[in-house]
Amino acid sequence: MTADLAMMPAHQLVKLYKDRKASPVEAVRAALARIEAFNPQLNAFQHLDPDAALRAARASEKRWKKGGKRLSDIDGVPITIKDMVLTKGMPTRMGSLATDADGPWTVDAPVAQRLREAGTVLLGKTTSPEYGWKGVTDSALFGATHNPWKIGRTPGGSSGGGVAAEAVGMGNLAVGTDGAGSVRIPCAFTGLFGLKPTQGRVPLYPPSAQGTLSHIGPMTRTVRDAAMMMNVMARPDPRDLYGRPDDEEDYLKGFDKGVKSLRIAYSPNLGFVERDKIDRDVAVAVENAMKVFKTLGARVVEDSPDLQGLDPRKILNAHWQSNVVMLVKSFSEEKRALMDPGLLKAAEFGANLGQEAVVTAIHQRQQIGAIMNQFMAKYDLLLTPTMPMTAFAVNENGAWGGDGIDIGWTPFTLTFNLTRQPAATIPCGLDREGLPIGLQIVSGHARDTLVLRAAAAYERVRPIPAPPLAHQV
Amino acid sequence: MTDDLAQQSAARLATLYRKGKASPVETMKAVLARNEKVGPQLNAFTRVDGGAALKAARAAERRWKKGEPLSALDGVPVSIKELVRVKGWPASMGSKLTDKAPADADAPAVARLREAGAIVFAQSTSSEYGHKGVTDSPLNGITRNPWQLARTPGGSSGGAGAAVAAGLGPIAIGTDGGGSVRIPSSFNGLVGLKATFGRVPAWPPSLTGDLANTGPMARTALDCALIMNVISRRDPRDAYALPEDDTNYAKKIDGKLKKLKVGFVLRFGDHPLDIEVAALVTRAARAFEKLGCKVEEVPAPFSYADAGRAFVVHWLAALQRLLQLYPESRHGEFDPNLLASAKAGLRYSLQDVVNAQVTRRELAIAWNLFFAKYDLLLSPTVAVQPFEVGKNLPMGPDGKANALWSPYTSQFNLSRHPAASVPCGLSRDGLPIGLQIAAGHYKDALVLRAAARYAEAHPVKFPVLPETK
Repeated sequence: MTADLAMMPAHQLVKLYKDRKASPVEAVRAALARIEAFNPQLNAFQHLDPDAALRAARASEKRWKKGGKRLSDIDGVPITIKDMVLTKGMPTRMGSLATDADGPWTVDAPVAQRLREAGTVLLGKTTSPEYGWKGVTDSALFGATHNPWKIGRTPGGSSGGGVAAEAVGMGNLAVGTDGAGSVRIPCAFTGLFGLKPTQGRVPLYPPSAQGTLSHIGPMTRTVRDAAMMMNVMARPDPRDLYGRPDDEEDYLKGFDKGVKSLRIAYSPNLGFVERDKIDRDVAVAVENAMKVFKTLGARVVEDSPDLQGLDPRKILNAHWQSNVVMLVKSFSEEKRALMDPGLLKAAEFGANLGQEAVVTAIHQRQQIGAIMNQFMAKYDLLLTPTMPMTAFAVNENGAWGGDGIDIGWTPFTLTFNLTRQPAATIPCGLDREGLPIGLQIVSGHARDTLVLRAAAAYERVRPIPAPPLAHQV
Repeated sequence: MTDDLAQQSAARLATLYRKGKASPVETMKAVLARNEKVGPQLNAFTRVDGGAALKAARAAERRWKKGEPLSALDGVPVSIKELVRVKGWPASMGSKLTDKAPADADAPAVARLREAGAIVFAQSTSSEYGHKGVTDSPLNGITRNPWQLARTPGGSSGGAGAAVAAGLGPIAIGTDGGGSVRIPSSFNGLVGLKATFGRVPAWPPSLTGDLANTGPMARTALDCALIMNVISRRDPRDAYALPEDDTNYAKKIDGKLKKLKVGFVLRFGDHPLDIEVAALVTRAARAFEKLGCKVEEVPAPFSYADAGRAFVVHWLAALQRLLQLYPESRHGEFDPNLLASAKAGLRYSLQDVVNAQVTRRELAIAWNLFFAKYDLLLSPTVAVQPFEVGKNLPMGPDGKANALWSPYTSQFNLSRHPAASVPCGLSRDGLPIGLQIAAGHYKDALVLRAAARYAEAHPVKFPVLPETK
């Protein structure tokens, strides 16, 4: 029974709480048991606080008892938060040896605050590469995090700890951050659902070094759980300078309405990714997923935006490489010596880009935004692969043997950090090695609820499987 | 009567049209006649298309006669700043270097105004690429302030400001990247709004990116609200547009300001402030007490020196792209001030640019927290009175050129908050002074309501400008 609670979708778990068939304390104990069993192999946590979690669980348990008042629909659900998000009373190291180990840890980021107010139980902080700088998860601070589908493979990144935990029940919900794909890459590589919401929808504080490229999103084993998280996380906070108008959106609105008659563009290469860079198994799985949408009644056509020669990879590279220049500069030389050589090299690379190149890239980001906006005016949704490949070996800085400084190996995700559109990934099959493949579902600005609804429709006919490891308790 | 029609607000014109007491054709003729008379003194327009305007006016007249106007702005003449695209006119940008072929599409605001029946009759002048806060350019020469022809109307939407003040169309579209709607609104005694960034869709993307805003300029807050009702509507070409919220700005302008918390900031930092501006704006801020607000005089929430530097780096680094866009052989045709600015932009390092972005975020958070505490900010719009034409900078109190004459506007371009200018009196020289009203993100309607309540209680008697003798 305890093992089941850990793998149980949050929306089912809270039903058990309500019927008093399970309690938050039992759920936390189940998660802790799995952490004990799996974390030594996976290395998903930067920090764990079982005592605080049990205390919070006991408080929640009281709220679920007769006469108690629960704080939200996910009160008492065990959750993990990435090491990039500030949490009061728990260290936030940004995956870095250069940050101060002693704190003080006095501030909750808006998301952490909202999740606490909602009564969720924070188990611990999940691993990230230093400042989330690369799409895999290893750091000098914690070493490499592994993929629960295959030890020795990367879970992707930068929210790699969060997905490794979520995939095997070390927590029922997970929070990641996404500056070029850092929620969607690891969710695709570990067979989870993940959403990068419309920029500004989930408040951020303090501002990321990556500015408006940076997003916070849910990583879950079911789509409904992500929607429930959005109902908590997507509330305004005056500390976020880019916060969108509060629309009091219910992210479960129309959740079961399906995709019938929706206009969907299917773009196997998003109009710019070289076909030979896309793994054959990925291409086939994504095409099959597209056909599922057809059978569900959507009006799917193959169509790609005309990017007019602009290359999102180059635009994003110029943005993030220049942004890390200042990040690295903000540390003393002594501290810099402790930093990931790859990140330092990226900063050096960024410093040599030249101001004109960066100002041009900023302008090109606007142009690509206008192009994608006009493309999305024709469609409700856009389907693409999430990643061109599946999970590769740990301790590489990027796919294809790259140094990670060129983030172009994740072209499908980064495009929507530039354009700020909502984009989710949902598992759509396994490759020849049994590794998960992700389908990316994108919509126009502020249509996050539609993305969730479409993903839910797909999930109903193609449920998300757990990795074999999760069953080996 | 004909001259009178040129002095009416858009809202008043709609009432006259509805009652059959005036027609769009009469208004258009009055405006064109007035332009014949005073236009040459002001140099507010790069072009006037009287023929097309009268044709559009006749169509509007038919709709009003049938009782089927397209909107409250149907048949109202509007001028468009030369930085905003109008189909069939060159997007001249005050520059000798721009392509003078007719634009093949309307910018979103222009498209919406046409759909609403407004008569796009003239293109108004701007400084070259809107790069400075006064209005003269190599292409069009000097634009003058109708309140005093020897003074600047401010800029960069100086043509728009001069035109509306002089009765050359009751409403105008300007753009504001650092204050270019609010400065000329202040200098010409108008109400002008820089809305929350993204509230008014724009296209094509501006050189100055998300500092740039398209905004309304008029003689009344209500007219600005009527324009906002039209130009704030969706356009898929703008990737930064906010979700459409169907706000009826004209309706939301009604209502009291009771119990609002107002933060009054007289100085944003260590910059010169004209004594008459200080006096009039302080008086205006006190008047908000009488309107039912709780007014607190408070310091600015962010370092002015840091904010100023962050803005200048953003601005000049953006202008630097002009040097790439045009061959070096033609750089001599730029306004020397623009060329110097672009070259200065080129000298910034990448680190300067990224640092400025970081400062911008800190500044925006500081103002966000300010607006979590106060419903409204009141401040001067500009620190000086309208100054002599032909100069890029006014004379400072120390007898030297004063580069800090407009310290109040650009912070809200950096922070993206809505901010308006509303006239709050005339100086001893008879020159208009503006009060800036700003609020939290998306509270554009509240800003206009505050402007309306204040203006009603403290009307500026609008003379027929330039004074005709």
